[in-house]
Amino acid sequence: MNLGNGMQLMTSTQHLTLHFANNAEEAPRIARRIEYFLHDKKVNDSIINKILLCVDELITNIIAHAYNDKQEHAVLLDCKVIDGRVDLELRDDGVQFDPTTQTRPDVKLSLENRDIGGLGIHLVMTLMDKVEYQREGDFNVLKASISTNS
Amino acid sequence: MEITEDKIDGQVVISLSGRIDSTAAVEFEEKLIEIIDKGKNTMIVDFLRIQFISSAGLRVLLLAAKKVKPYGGKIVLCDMSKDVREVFDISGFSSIFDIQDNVSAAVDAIKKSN
Repeated sequence: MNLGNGMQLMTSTQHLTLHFANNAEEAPRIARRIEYFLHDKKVNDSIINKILLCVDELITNIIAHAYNDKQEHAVLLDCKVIDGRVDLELRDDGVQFDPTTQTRPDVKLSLENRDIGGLGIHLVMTLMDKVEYQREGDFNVLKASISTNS
Repeated sequence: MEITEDKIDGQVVISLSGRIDSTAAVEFEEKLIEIIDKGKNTMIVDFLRIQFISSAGLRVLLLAAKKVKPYGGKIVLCDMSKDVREVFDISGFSSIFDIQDNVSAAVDAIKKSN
């Protein structure tokens, strides 16, 4: 749409939807697709790296902990660039798990006493600007967003 | 991710490039364990060409550091970007690892501690 003053109104929503199985071998493909998509949308490298890190943590968590059976499950990842931010949404039908209410690791412990548990979630909660969880029926729905200007 | 191993003034320097995510962490762990198993307990890990490190990569560093500590060894890190450094700060890993500006400073730090 032409606004008459030489400015073009850009379409504001850009959308990537990925379906993948709860299998660690899927991780490189997901990272590649997201990196290409965000790069194409001119998101800066520092933000892209933060998002790739968080996606790695979140899908690793789902693959490792969401399912007690040995079945294959479909996980959905949605990525949008909208109004100066990147929105992620992950949807899995695994056991109910709210990462936003987990106990954060004690990051002040010495080397001998440090344990790696919970660190991935702690990174996601700190690096992303907003993280929200909802249980919708049989699904865990996690929404995370980060400003493209930070 | 690519991993190379060099020696500078007799010190093992591991250089990594790309992402140390959950996939790359497997290879990273194998490399560090291989070096430790050869009897080398002190080494430098150069982050110059690292895009990011996830908790899977941090876990490998923590395991390696715990493994060499009883033998008086240590793992010195260097050349971190601002973003990688932020992840180390958030994790509390900045206080459990010796982080130097560059490889020369890392080599000096090891010489001084010997």
